[in-house]
Amino acid sequence: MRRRLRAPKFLLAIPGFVWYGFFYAIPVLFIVINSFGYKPAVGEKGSVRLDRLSFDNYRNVWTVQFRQVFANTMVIAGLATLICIVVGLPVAYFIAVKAGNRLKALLLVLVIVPFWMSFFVRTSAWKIVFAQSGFLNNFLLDWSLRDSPIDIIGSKPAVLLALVYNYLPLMIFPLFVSLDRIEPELREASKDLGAGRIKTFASVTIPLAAPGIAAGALLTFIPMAGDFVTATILGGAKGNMIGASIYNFAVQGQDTPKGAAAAVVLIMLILMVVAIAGVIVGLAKFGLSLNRRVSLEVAS
Amino acid sequence: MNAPTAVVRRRRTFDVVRLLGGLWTSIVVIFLLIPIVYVIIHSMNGGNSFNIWKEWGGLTWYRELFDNRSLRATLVNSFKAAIGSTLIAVVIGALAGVALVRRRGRWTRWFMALLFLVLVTPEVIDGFALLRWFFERDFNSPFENGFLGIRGGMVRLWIGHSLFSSAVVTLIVRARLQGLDESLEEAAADLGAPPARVFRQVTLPLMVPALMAGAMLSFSFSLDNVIVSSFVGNDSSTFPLYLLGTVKSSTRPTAGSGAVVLFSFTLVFAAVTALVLRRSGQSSSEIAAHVAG
Amino acid sequence: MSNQSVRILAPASFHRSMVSRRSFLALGAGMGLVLLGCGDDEVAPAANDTSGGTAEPVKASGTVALYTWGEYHDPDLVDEASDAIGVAMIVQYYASNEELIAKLEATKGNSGFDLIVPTGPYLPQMISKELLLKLDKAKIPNFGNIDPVYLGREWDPTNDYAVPRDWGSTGYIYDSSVITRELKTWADYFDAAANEASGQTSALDTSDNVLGPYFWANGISWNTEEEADLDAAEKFLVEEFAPHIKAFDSYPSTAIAEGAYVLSAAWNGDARQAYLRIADAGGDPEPWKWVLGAPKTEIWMDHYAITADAKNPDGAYAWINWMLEPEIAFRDLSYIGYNMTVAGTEALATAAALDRLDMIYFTADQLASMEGGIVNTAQNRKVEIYNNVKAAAGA
Repeated sequence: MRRRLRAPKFLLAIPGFVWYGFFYAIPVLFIVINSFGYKPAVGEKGSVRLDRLSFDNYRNVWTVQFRQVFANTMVIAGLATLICIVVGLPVAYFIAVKAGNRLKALLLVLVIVPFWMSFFVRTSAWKIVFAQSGFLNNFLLDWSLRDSPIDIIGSKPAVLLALVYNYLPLMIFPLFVSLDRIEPELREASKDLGAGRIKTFASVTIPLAAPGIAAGALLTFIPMAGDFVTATILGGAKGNMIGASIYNFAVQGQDTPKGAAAAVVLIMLILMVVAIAGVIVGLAKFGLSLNRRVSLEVAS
Repeated sequence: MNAPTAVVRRRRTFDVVRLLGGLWTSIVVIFLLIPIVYVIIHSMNGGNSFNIWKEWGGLTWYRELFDNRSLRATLVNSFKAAIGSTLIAVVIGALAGVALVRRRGRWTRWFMALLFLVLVTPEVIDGFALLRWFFERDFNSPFENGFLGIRGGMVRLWIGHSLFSSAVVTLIVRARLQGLDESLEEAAADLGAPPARVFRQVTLPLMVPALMAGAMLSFSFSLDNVIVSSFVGNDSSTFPLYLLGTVKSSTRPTAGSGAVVLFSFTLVFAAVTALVLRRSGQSSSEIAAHVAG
Repeated sequence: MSNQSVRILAPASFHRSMVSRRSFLALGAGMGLVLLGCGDDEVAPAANDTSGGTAEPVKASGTVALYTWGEYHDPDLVDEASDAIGVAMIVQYYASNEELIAKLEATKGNSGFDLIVPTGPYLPQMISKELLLKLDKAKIPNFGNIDPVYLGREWDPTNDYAVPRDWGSTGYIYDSSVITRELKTWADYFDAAANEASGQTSALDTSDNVLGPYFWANGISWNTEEEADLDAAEKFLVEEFAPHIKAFDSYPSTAIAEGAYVLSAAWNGDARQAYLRIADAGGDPEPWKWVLGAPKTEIWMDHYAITADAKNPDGAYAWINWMLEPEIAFRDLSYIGYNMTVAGTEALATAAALDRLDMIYFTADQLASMEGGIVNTAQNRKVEIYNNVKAAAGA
């Protein structure tokens, strides 16, 4: 018998450690350091000076205006996530529970396929859909379904709509996976014990789907919070999300330190939201185990 | 999978939930498909603008993709970036995924924490951080012209695009291996196979479905990446970067035709992946689970 | 920091040379435009003598990455470059000089861009940051085709770094079927934005062009460094203008054709393109009215420059040289609608009776009301105000 190689256990993870260390951890750390620097005067070389460190940049991105932008971003991303859950849950439920095998495969394909069309172009396409003299508006006017054309391009509703559209598949899939894994017997058992459909859905299906909801919420909320492309295409001035501000500071506004501070604040906010989501999922699981115990006691 | 359908069929008298659910699902699917239809139609616009329909133009803008050298270059760059970053993501993800399941230790927690951070960081911050890191002389003074001389825009794209996707591949591989019995590998080792051979002949084949799914995801993420590319891409202009540029002017119908071409390639890749997964005996649900990460 | 890097363009001298142009125009007005064309033509052959003719374009190979403003080059010319000069152009866009400089500075030494099109006042800081390549004019035989009136500006007195390309001004365009009164000044622009055009107004997406109109409307130079002026501008723009802005859009022509705005600040060339776009989209361009900013407005001049880290400088030279051929410059002009620096293009444009020539060529009075930009100590503060206005507009 050959002797086993006496390599450290994490040997195979070394490429991963190196990659994330060099191209994630250290660069992000530098952003954090940058956020305490200041911008050099016009004409001087470099984009950040670090010889004098201060919290000025944080003060400057925590002004009334930028608090508004942060709040906007969190509200829009949060709202879009919520809509994704509300819209996606019935779809995932239908595909996982009610659809036959063939239909299941077909629907999954139909849900994922739009996701493979260029993000940018499919977002722009909404501009065509809602164009003032486009097909939809002409149709609505011709049939007197509306008095005036729908005019939402360049507004928050447009951004909301496109965000939901762009990230909905990322919500439906994890939901589907978690619902699909639930043993049908469990639902049946609940019904046999006399629980109504709604009660079964609320007390068995939803808690069991909680990890899927959490995964979907994270998969949609985080990219939404940093997304500036959707807002740039459809939001006009009103779609000013914090991702766009960071891009502006970092690239357009020539103010790297301020952009760095905004980036740090953004990641803090996201970590907070993730922590809250974690707590909610934890509670849901706890509630489920309580529920189970209660129903077992009732059954016995 | 057969038992539950039997159960459902038994009580099929009148299922309101099924009816409403089906209706709702149809509406959502139509909602998801509307813009795709618009893109395909407008890629054949006879006018000069993607957004404003003028007349039927046939395949003019598809020909333009291949005639116009700079446009063609952006498409080729997109594929280069996608292939490179996918390879990186698959190698890193495969190795790390195996280690996470088969070589667990105290390091696992640290690695998972790092992975978690990578996954929750919005791309805009990745892009910004990489931009600073690749170029800032103050930080990289030992390396003239940026860190380790990372000069080419393409290399920067590979690195930038592989960050998120390698984390996703790691999780997919981990999930796949967790569901597999270790006894096969142990048996092979007991029969005297060296670790490298066990890995190559036993573990790797077991991982193929996960790797395919991971590659599929990385590929489509990269093909679509705007945000990281807009920070580090510069002259290595990918197709999405070309599109971002057109927002600052006017979007031409080549936006549509290029998107449809990339879309078709992704579809083919996806079909092949699905076929491989199906061959390895997975149901549509499991395939979906893989693709969803 | 060196003094040179702060003081950039003395607008007065820009005007001084404009005066010579003004007398030129006055002459033209009196004797008919044909004569003006002849006047220009006299310059061109003289220039050709020194350069030895322009028959054969300079050839090069490979690809050239052109980093430029949106809607700024005739796409047909970009396509034809591979046949005409052997160079395949890759075009990327920026929205402002700040963005251009930030991108070049951030990726310095390795930007990947070969050719850029910066605006005059921003050149000195780009030179002091060592972002530009010192030009070898022997590689641009057509350099002599440039009307000398545009050479030797304060920002680059010996034209060692930059080749003047075109110049233009700023105003706004509005839909008179919605805004039925006549708008004439920047004050009218703000007033209409706050009333009829509220939520349907676009502003240009650069710090200078967001702040400039306020200063001009209030009789202040847009190059002011007074803190009180800047504070007042911020207060007004954040509180009274931002809520009415629909978008910051430097190239509103396409969106106008799609019916997105009824009032848009625009550079003259893009405003001119809007008319073509509206007609293209099957709309009626008639109700749209162009107004050159008043009582004062800007004058800007853009240049071709080659980046210090260009991978294909020869390709970039070949492009610049090709663009300086009068025939090519004229074609570029017909697309973008800006006054080209190549001598003789005005005559060609007049002869070809291009649409809306009045949006390309200005009257003497209009020229007199134009003010060049200066990048001065207020620059960082201006960028800060601009970011705040953007944040406020999104709220």
